[in-house]
This record gives sequence, C-alpha cells and structure tokens, in this order.
Amino acid sequence: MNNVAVAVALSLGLVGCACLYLASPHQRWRTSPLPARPACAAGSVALLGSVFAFARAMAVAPAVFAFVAWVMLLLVVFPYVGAAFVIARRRR
Amino acid sequence: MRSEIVRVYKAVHTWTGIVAGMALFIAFYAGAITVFKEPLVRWATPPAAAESAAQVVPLSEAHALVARTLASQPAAARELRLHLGLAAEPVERLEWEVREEGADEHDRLSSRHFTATLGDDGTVHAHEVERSHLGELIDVLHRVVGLPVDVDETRIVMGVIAALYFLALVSGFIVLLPSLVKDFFALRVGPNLKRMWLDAHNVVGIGSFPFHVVMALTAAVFAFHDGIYVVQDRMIHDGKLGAIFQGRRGSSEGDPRDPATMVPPDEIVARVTELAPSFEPTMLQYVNATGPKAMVRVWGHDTRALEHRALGGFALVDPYSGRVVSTEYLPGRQSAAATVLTSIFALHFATYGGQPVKWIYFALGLLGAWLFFSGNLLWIESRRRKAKKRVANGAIPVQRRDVRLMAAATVGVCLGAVCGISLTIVAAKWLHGHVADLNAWHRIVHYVAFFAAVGWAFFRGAARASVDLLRAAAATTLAIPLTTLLAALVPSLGMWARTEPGALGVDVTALVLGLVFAGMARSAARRVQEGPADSPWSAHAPPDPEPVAVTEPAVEAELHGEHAG
Repeated sequence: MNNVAVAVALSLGLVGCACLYLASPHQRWRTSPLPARPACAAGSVALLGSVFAFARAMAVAPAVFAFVAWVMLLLVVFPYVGAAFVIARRRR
Repeated sequence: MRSEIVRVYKAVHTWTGIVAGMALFIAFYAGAITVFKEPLVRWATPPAAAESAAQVVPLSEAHALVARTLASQPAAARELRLHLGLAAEPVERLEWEVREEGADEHDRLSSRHFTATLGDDGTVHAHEVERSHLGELIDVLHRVVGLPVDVDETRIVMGVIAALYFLALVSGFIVLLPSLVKDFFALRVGPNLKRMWLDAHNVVGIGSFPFHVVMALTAAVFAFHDGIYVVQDRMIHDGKLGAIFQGRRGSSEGDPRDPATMVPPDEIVARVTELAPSFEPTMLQYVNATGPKAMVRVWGHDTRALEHRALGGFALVDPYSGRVVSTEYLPGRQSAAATVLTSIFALHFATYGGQPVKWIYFALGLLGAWLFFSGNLLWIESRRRKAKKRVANGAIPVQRRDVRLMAAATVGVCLGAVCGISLTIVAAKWLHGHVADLNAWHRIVHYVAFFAAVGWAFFRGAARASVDLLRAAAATTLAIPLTTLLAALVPSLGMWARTEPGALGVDVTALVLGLVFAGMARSAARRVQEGPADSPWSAHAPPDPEPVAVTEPAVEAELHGEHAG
C-alpha cells in the first residue's frame, strides 16, 4: 500500500469535511460560517481528490469504503469539536 | 410527512433502542477493542512465550517437522498451522488446536493448543502451549453482546438484538428526515439538556448511519447464518447441502497419503507469491493433510485489496502437487461474486485499508457505544420531572421509578462492561503465574467487575454511582499502562513490558481512554453536586420515592417535536 497516497487521501478528506462543516450555519469553530457556495465547492474538490488518492493506494472497492469510513468519522467528530470550543469559550 | 407517521416511528425507535441499547453498547465497546485483537494478545503474552516462537526451524527446513507431525499426530492431521514468522502474533511456528468435546464451532475459549519440535533422533515431541484467550474473550463479548459463550442460543439473542438495532436505525432515520438537512451538524450546547442530548445522539446516528446499517445487517446475518443454511438446504438443495460441502472439502474415505511426499512449505509459498506478487503470506493451514482430498490454505495479506477475515485471505493449494486449486479467497484475485461476498465481511471486520482503516473503525466503534449510551440518557432526560412544571409549591419532585431504574441500569451495565474489560486486560499481567487457569480467570474477573458495577449502580442510585463507576472505569483503564510501567520499573514483580509498536499502542490507547473517563467523571461529579436537583442525576434529589402531587402532562405530549431517541 502506498502510504504517501493514504496520507494525502486522509488530509484531503479532512480539509474537504472541514470546508463542508465550516459552511454550515451550525458550525461552532468560527464566529460566523464560511460563505456556503465557495466553501462547499472547495470541500467537494478536496473530497474528490481524497477518493482519487485512496484509489492510488488500493483497489477501487476498498478505496471507496475507506473514504466513506473516514468521512463518516469526520462528520461525527467535527460537531463535537465545535461543542468543545463553545464550552471552552464560555469558561473563558 | 404526516405527524402520526413520525409519531409511530418515534415510538418504534424509542423502544427498540431502549431494549437493545445496553447490549449494543457492550457489543460496540468490545468490538472497537477487537479491531486490535492481535496487538492485545501480544500485550498480554509474556516475552518467554514469544521467545519460544523465535526458537523455530527455518522455513526451508520446516518440511520434515510438518510431515512427521502430520503423520504422528491425528489431531494435527485434521488441521495444522505453520506460521511463516511475518505475523505479529506471538505463536509457535507449528501449531494445532484441540477443541473440547461437544464445543460449538465458534467457541474457541475452551481450545487447547499444541506445538511440536523434532528431537535429535528425528522423532516428534508434541507439547501443549499456553495461549492467551484474552483477545478471544473480548471478541466473544462483542459477538454475543456481553454473554459468556458464543453458542447457538447466545447467537440467537445477538440476532434479535441486531434486528432491533436495524429497526431502530431505520425508524430513527425516518423520524429525522423532515429536519435532516436543517439540523445537520447541529450540536447545541445550552441550558436545554434534552436538546443537547438529542443533538449529541443524532450527530453520531446520522453522521455514521451507513456504518451502522452495515453493522446491523452483517451482525444479523452472522447470528442467523446457520438457520439460513438450514432453510437453504431444505428449500434449494433438497437436504444435500452437507454432502456438497463434504465433497468440496474432501472426505475421510480413501487411502491415507504420506505427508513426506508433500511439496515443501517454502515451495508452496513461492508458487502463490509468483501468482500474486503483492500478497504477503503469513501462514500455511493444512486441512485433512493425510486424506485423499488434502489441501493447504496459504493465508496472508494484501493491503491493496479487500480481505475476507482478520487473518487476511488465502489461496487454496494441493499440498501434494503444489498446484494452486482456487484463488476465490485470494485478495485481489477474486471473481466479482466473491468480491461482493468478501466486501460484506471486510466492511464488518475492517479488513481493508490497513492500519488507518482499523483506527477509523476503532473510533467509529467507540462512537457507536456512545450512540447507545446517549440514547438512554435522552430517554431518561425526556422523562424527567421538573420542579417548576410539575409541583405546585416548587418542591423537588421524586423522579419516576422506571426512570430511576433505567438510569441505574444504564450506568451499571455500560460502565460495568468498561470496568470489566479493562480489569480483565490488566489481570493478564497481574495473575500470570499465580493462577492455574488464567483464561478461566479472565472470565471470572470480567463478570465479577461487571456484576459488581451493576449492583453498585442500583445500590447507590444512578447519580452517585455514575461518578463512582466513571472513576472506576478511569482507574481500571489507566491501570493498563500503569501495569506496564510498573513491570518495567520493578522487574521482580514477574510481569513484562513489551516494547513492540502494537503492544505499546495498547498502553497509549488505554492511557488516552483512561484520561477521557477521568474527565467524564469530573464533569459528572460537578453535575451531580451542582446540577439541578430535579434530575435523576442529582445527589440532592429526594431519596424517598413517596408519591407527590404533580401535574402530570403525558410524557409523549412533552416529547412531541423534541425527542427522536
């Protein structure tokens, strides 16, 4: 397995999901969300790049499965990170 | 969508979730750990046992050992494993297993393991070896939702739980459909606790929905597959399915064959790697090697492809001719139909994508456990009697009995499972050399801790017990790396501190988890002492459950529009 390709795939997935999260009105990382269209477009490109990078590292089926698993994890974790930011800000 | 329909699905989601939630917590928590079963076994195995694995004959000289063992040991002739020294698991090079009489085919906890060496005169010396069943015990807890053995009856329980889980997923999804887009990513932290738990629950449920659908469906199939075969046999194969399998696997009839005439192991490995260069063989599994239809499975890994099992995939080879008979289970060399079948297994077992996917599954597994725990918290919070709403004179109301019992059961069962698993892992080092049957003690330690936690939760009440048990979970989980540290600092204790990446990974992961539990205990203690008294999670809630005058609007009406869990 090509470890560099996997690292690139994971990084692009992270960036892509972060863009989608930051474009949401429910995001809690910033005081205001990013402009929705540009952020979603950038996020989609990054996620597409992530799939291709996974497919460089492994066969198509495991690449798609790995991509989906990674995206699921990020989509779940990001709102919790946002909630942690909210709690930390309130304590300050 | 009509509100009556949503209401029906909400009720289905609530009750299926409540019935199955605690069992699923155990399945997911143990399942997350099972992803790293191999490093855990390594952590739990003393270096002495691993060193014996190093005292092995080179692969090029293993042929005589294999052939003579097969010829002299009937149990080994049924199934013999030759490890190639590439797997991380600390095992003897040559190994076979003897199962207890009448043991279920999935129950490996009672198995005894044997290995063999060649004496100077060329005779085979077989001897029993001690293998840690710690990984298998936690895997069994995962497979049968915390029950002690993996047999037909417990698998049926698991199957029913999996079916309820699937119903809960589908009904929960339908309930959330009207607000799915609007509330995506929403986790509103504020004074409305019901809203917060609802968001915390939904974020996990929706974000990882495909993962949970796969887990629910595959778990149901794994639970009922024997039944599926029986129906298939009667409906499709006219009762001849067994004969078909027997024909494929080879029967015991016919002249016995001389294993000395088999192709040497290194040559068998070479033929498979020539066929699939990216495949890394780890083990040869000889099956019925002295019979007329002998075969050897060459197991190994190809991280670029989907793999059928945690062991990887295999090529089927005739050990007497060296011909590769089948590549149906060889990663990357499968037919389309076999790839689809392998996908189902790989998606459940995380047997693709190497270490990154294993870590992703580990995190999704823990989040899955949190999904069920938060579902119960939401159920409890939704049925909480609030002072200002329910009692005319502002007195603190007594919480409903079912709410108090559910709260106690939730913290007792869920945190009891965490404590039990952590403590039985720690026991691998503390009890080694001090008890005759360590594998039996693993079960005893787990269940004593588990039932003690459940008893404590009902005895102390949910609020106080939640703090005690979270502290116990933190302490027992932190005891894993602390035991390793102590073993390194005080060698006279007779324990061991392994420094391989896998074993150290167990310590580091336990350290992080232990600190998370400690943080949760701190938050819970604050809430129990300083939080609102009209809560099942308050230490100042009225202890005496005498009925008080309350205005009792229907709980379902209160939940309307707010509760999906």
